[in-house]
Amino acid sequence: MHAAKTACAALLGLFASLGLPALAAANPLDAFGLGARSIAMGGAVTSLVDDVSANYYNPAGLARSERLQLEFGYIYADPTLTINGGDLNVDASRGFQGGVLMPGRLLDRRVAVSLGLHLPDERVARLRALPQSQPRFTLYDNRPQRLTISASGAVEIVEGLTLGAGLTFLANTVGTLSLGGQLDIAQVEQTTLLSSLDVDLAAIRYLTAGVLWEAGEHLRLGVTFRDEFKLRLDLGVEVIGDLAFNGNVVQEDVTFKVMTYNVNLFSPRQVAFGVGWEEERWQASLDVTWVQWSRFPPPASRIEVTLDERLASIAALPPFEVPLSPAFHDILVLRAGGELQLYRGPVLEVLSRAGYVWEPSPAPEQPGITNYVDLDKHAVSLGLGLTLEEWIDLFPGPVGLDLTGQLIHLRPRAYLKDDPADPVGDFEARGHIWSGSLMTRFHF
Amino acid sequence: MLPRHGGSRGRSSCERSDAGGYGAEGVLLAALLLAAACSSLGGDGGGDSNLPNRGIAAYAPVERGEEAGGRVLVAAQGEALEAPSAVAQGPGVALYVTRRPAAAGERAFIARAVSEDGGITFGALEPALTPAEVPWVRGGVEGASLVEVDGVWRMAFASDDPPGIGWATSADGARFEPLEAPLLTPQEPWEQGGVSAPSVVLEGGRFALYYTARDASGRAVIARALVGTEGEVRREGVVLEGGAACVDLEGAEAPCWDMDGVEGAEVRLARSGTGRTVYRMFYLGRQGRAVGLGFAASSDGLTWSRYRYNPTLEGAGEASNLLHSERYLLYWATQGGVMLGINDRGQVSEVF
Repeated sequence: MHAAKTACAALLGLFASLGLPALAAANPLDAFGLGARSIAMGGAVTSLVDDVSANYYNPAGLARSERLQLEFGYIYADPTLTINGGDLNVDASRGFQGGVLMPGRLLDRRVAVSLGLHLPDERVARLRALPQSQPRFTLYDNRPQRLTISASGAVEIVEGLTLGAGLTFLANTVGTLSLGGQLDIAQVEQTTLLSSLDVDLAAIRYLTAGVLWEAGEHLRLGVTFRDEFKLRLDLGVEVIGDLAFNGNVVQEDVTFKVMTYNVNLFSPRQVAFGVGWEEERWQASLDVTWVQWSRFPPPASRIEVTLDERLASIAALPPFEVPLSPAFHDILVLRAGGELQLYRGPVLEVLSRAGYVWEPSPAPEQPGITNYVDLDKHAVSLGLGLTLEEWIDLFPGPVGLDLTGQLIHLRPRAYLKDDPADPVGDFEARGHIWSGSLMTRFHF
Repeated sequence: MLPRHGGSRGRSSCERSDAGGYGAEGVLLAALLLAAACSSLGGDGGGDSNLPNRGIAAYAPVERGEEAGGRVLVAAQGEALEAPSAVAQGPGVALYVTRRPAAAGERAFIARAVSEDGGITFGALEPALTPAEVPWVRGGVEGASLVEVDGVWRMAFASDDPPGIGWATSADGARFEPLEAPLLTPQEPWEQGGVSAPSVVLEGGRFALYYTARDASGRAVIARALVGTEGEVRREGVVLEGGAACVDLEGAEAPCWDMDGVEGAEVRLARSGTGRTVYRMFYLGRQGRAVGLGFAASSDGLTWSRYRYNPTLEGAGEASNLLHSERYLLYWATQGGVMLGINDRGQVSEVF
């Protein structure tokens, strides 16, 4: 039976790593988490995770599971983020979460593979680069709006020590629209341009890896590494053609090229350390996560315009702003969580969960032209877990139902401008985010 | 409903799990299909509405009838309406203008029109202060600026003959009584060509008076003086001059668009989104024959910083800016009357 499971797992893992279009282990999970149980515990599960959410929190935890698990559910996060009291109407983040976890044994060691999924039900992804001077909640702009699929595996190296890793595949977009023909500057209707489009979706990969050590009967230690990841969106228009005036060609083969360079969906490199304590009726854990926001590139477009020198003599280019470095700094995120068994009967088990997160903002003051808004965050979460044993014949294994609510409070922050004539001026930002998550879990 | 036994053919070994005979991947696939069916590519949104809006730019001109030519106040044949100054009076908006009659020998005077619909349409212009009521004036009176203190309206105005700035008060804002002597007359070197276009704000318990001063060559600058409650004046010097301290988009020093002088300032005190006091100034800048409306701001009323996208409105005359009913109104003088532009995008970020 275990051999069959392992074979299945290997096949699915191979399929996942070769064929799926987009894989990620970070966003929007960085923002709201993965899995109702883990979110309820404040995400402080690096040392305790043993379900599908291990794809994000610590792939090594996959090998802790004893049974095949199938999870699916829904998460909804509703932000109210304001500047000067005006709600910016930042989009809600919502979608399906779930996945499958397939444990087995190989050479008498525990192994597991898993597939985790966050599938937004409004948009698959958003790539948007706003002007750097436009105020925006930088971490809630593109980040929560993305399809996320994680494929991971784990293996027990020695008893009590497991390693796990997952790969992520995404695509950079680099494209150029080429136009050729004749451009008439006096009679536009006589302009004839033929177009061709050349776009590459180049694959990029990044790693998530973890270690989990059952250091004693109750003590659990975990470390997770999530590599940096960023998507580029480079688009350009190139015009090569003859310049005409009233139908008469005045210049042949002049060129005009506009390129925009954007970095979207940046997810910083992270290392999470977790320590947990497991008792029969309860468990608790603490996590500290180092997040390398200092490598955050400018989330604004850089524009390059290249004019043929013959065109440059008759046309002036407007000045283009060069995106400034956002100068974010690295942060430490603190997480705490716990789970308590409230009731256990022959058929039903009831668990309560709670968690807390303190995430300082990586964004500096914004006294100049940029307006990358981000605030310190406190998050509290509460959850309830129900597990039904041998509920109905259809599901001979335990069936779990996890319900979680979370409130993220963004501490108000005043942004003061050095220049009193700044186009945006001083402003105050504040907000909160409610989220709810419901997951079902089937064990087989 | 999920299939209990998976697909009909080609089942992989994965389907034979401990699940009791139906395929786990079938359930996952069904869940994925369900999710995909509910998905879309999304639409608008994303959190960029209700952005902070300082009302500096851009203003959309209010469309008026063909007869009005887009003007909210239309000048009579041959006359000119100049130097608008808008204030909120009760629930309405009062617009004071300099009315310069066409007939030779008639002197300019200050007239007022009132709007009851948020500053869009105005009633008839009525005289608010005429030169005949000002004993020290031989020419016309012009360039009104108003401020209300404890229910009393104070008006600063200018005279071209003799050059000077006067002071008048009113209980209702309709008719004003002037002081018998001018408040400020040219004394300093930079004032030898005359003083005009006053703009007054209440600063603590005193008034800050901004005005256009011209030197003997006629070059205009913006100067500032403090006016005490008893009418005593203390000059603080030139606060803005043309062709100096301009910056480009990167904040680096750059050639100024107002090389040949600045004039006609209107200063308003505002409170920023964080509660800081901001002095806002719209002013006219000149370069050769070109004239445009610029914006500058200050934290202390003395040191001013220009808006880096100046001019905000090319070809405009003297202007007045008012925040009313959660939108910014900008009135500016133009040939044949007074134009109105409205900026009501998103969240107004300064209160004044």
